[in-house]
Amino acid sequence: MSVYGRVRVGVMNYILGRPLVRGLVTRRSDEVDILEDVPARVGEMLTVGRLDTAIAPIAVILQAPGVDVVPGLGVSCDGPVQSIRLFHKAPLSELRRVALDGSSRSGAMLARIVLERFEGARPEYVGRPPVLLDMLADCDGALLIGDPALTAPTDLAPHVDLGELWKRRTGLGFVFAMWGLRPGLSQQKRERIAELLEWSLSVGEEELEEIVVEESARIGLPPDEVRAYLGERIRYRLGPNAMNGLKLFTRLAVEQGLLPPDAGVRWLSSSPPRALGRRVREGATARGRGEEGSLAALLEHGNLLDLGAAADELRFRLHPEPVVTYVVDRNINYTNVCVSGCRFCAFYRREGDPDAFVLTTDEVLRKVGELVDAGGTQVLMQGGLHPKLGLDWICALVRDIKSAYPSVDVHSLSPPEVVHYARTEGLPVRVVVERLREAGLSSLPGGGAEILSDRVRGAVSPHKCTADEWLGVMREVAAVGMRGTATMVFGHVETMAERAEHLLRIRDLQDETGVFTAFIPWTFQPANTDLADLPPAGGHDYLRTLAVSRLALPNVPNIQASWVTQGAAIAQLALRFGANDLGGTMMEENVVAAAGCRFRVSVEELRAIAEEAGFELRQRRTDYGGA
Amino acid sequence: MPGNVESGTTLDRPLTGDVADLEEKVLAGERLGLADLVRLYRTPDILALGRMANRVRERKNGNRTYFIVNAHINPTNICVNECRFCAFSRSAGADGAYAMSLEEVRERARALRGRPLSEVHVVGGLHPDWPYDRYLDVLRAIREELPEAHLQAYTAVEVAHIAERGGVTVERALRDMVEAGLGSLPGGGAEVFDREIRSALCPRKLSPEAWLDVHRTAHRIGLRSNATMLYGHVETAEQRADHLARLREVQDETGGFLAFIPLAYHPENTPLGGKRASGYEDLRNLAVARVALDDFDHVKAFWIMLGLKMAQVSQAFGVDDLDGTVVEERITHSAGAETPQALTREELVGLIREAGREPVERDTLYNVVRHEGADP
Repeated sequence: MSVYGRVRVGVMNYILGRPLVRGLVTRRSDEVDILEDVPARVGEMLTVGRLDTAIAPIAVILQAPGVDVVPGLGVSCDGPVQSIRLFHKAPLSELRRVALDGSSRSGAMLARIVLERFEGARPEYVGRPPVLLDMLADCDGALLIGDPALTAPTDLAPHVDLGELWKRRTGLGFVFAMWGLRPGLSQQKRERIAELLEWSLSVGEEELEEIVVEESARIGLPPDEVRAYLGERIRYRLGPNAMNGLKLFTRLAVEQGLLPPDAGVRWLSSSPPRALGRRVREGATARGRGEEGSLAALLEHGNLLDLGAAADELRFRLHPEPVVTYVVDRNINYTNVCVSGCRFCAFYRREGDPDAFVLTTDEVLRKVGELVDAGGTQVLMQGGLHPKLGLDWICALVRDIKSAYPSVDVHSLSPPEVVHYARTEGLPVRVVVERLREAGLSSLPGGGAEILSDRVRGAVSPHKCTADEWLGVMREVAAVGMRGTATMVFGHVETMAERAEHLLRIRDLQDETGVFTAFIPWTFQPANTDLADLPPAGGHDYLRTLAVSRLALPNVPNIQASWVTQGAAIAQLALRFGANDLGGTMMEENVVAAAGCRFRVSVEELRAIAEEAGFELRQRRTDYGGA
Repeated sequence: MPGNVESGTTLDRPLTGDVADLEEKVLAGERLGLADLVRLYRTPDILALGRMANRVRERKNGNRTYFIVNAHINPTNICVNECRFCAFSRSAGADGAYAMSLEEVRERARALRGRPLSEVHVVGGLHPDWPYDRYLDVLRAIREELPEAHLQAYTAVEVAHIAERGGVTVERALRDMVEAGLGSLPGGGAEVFDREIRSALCPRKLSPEAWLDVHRTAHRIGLRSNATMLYGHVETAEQRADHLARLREVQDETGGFLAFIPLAYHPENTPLGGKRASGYEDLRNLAVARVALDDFDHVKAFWIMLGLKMAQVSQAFGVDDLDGTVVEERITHSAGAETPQALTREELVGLIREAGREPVERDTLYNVVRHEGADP
């Protein structure tokens, strides 16, 4: 590898840094240069671009413009940690002068939050080298961080472990440092580095015992202590407890004026943790034959809690913040006339049936207006495959909506409707999609995917587009620069192998195009359909399939939980089985006067569901950006 | 103002808590203390709770999930207790109040003849006027009509009330009931043992000490019984933990409890009102109980209370018993449970199999009636 390709990596010169860089140091010295220094210095060198990546203190990470952060990895604790100790000669609330080791600003911030916010102290702070005796000579408090804290004499003054104190007061973990990436790196290089770092830590975890032996000799601590410190107290993988702790720390630091109001983490986007997804799939499916077979085995026999834990881990890698999103939307069914005659559908009518309808433009606009008045952003407009309504008609409708309500996202139609228009107009799918985009369509919902297997489709929806046609529409959607979602309706006549095939076809198209913003699996609802004699899929099958979906599709950013088909209880659980989104509020078609009321109730319910499960609920737009 | 963030608005909802250390304890088979249980009631790490509970469940019951073919008879809803969380009870003469005559009880029982029932479950209100013998006659009537079925009847609260009506000791009353056909005691009426809660919600109800004493006495004379806890009203994590610890203590002493059943408070049509506990809370209560009650063989969930989907999932969260195919049940339905009123045996077996468990039909004492096997 050329010298220009070398990766410059910064790490703190404390023993807690060793497991993080173990793989790099022992196996990749031809590819990386490693710089060790005190945390503050490492962070500074990252922000000025002298390092490509560094395990930087959160004080730096939270306010470094342009520094992206690798999700899921870092240095944290969840209770006593020993390497951040505040020695005090007076009660904490009465301290007047506290000596801080300037080598860690994050530790200093934590000390200030603990002293001022939790204890009500108002001390003066002075910077000092980390020598306890000197620090306590003219100060009544002294903060030690890192190895100096680990090896400090404990008989000079009483001390508190700030990791333990933070945990006691907040119940949360504390994140000390995370991997930042220098501004200006190419996306390819960022992803390469993120993979290297993940791999390097896994080497460190495997070789922990060797690290313990080396470091205990070097630093002069018994191996048992070093083992407990590196193996238990320090946590290198950041779970929800650590992320919630980071969130609280950020807020408290901002409130106390220690960080600017816009402080926050900028996550490395689209860091597809393929390695993780692959590892989970391979590990969990060693008995399977090909990938399809192994996914099918997981769907059939996978242990529910193991799959949940793996999906949850991947979910937090992709979405490091404990946030669950939803969109305020309205379903508008512009017609119930349909030529498709799917056996699982309870909604559609034939033209000429007494209760067949087509909405007028005014009716549609009134509904969109009500949505906008209620704070909604997304129109989910779907209809039957009406034999007479043409492409011009639907394009005019979309155009009218966008000109009346330009801010609304028209997330409407579905691949079978696009195929229907292409057939009835005699136009290529590309042209239909292009015209819809020009009319103002924002994104194409992935309805009608059912199970992407022609055997299954032949059995349940013989007149609907084929699996290849469905995927072909999405390919064209990507080609014209739009995005869409993917769905799966399971629990009817499909086999587990066919469910697996569906997931793999979605993943392949996503690898090819990146078209999908989200994957939305839900269970077939048999009531009032030709298939009413099928037993409904249970909660166990739903959660297992959801978790397998998350694992099988590491390249699809979002997974939706379906509270409409599963109910609030299962939807809440789904948040720990891979789902990070609760979908739309689905303002009711037929509820007009009471619509506002009903909608507010729904959002409150969603909020309660999310918060009790440990997440913040956040409204999003159709593209999964902030509302 | 300097502040303790715990009391401020900044952290006013339950916080996350890592419970890896408790998971290790459970894996090692160590008993959890009160403080440990409080942490488990507070952690949102539902998957960790599931893993712990599943470990204990599989240690005790393997891959089996039990169910029973039973029927409920609720002879009266007239009750002097007026507990604020109850939607079932009525005062005498109030709208909807009913008290079955002995002949009605007999008819109800007769209607169940010919079904492959192994148990009849009888609970009701504390009727102000029924004499001692009336309660015994109810048992006799059912036994005469359904001589093969095990009679699980009268919660500890009813037993104490009946003894009082008869001016006899609890032990005498229990012995008379056994003579009349009683097979075991259900676990209802425990609510939450904490005194303050009881004085707020059910001041007239039997005291916790007396509730536990009825069960102790029953166990001493050879009866088995169940235990419950009513959660999701106003109780705290500490009060729940205390409740479980007190049950565990009695069980250590007698070994007479068969199963523990956490009961979700259903707020509709109750004087107390409020919200139904969420799915998380349901699973949490099942899982924590499974982990805490290391001396109980079984943790049971009523599918009729949880709903079918959650009942199915609960089998991964410590539950080894889904109760029965219920022919008629009134108490939960007065409070707005939306699940179907009865499930066929095939449906229940399918629900258990789909979760990867082996359905086992049991009798009241957990003897195997029929092992359905893992797969058809």
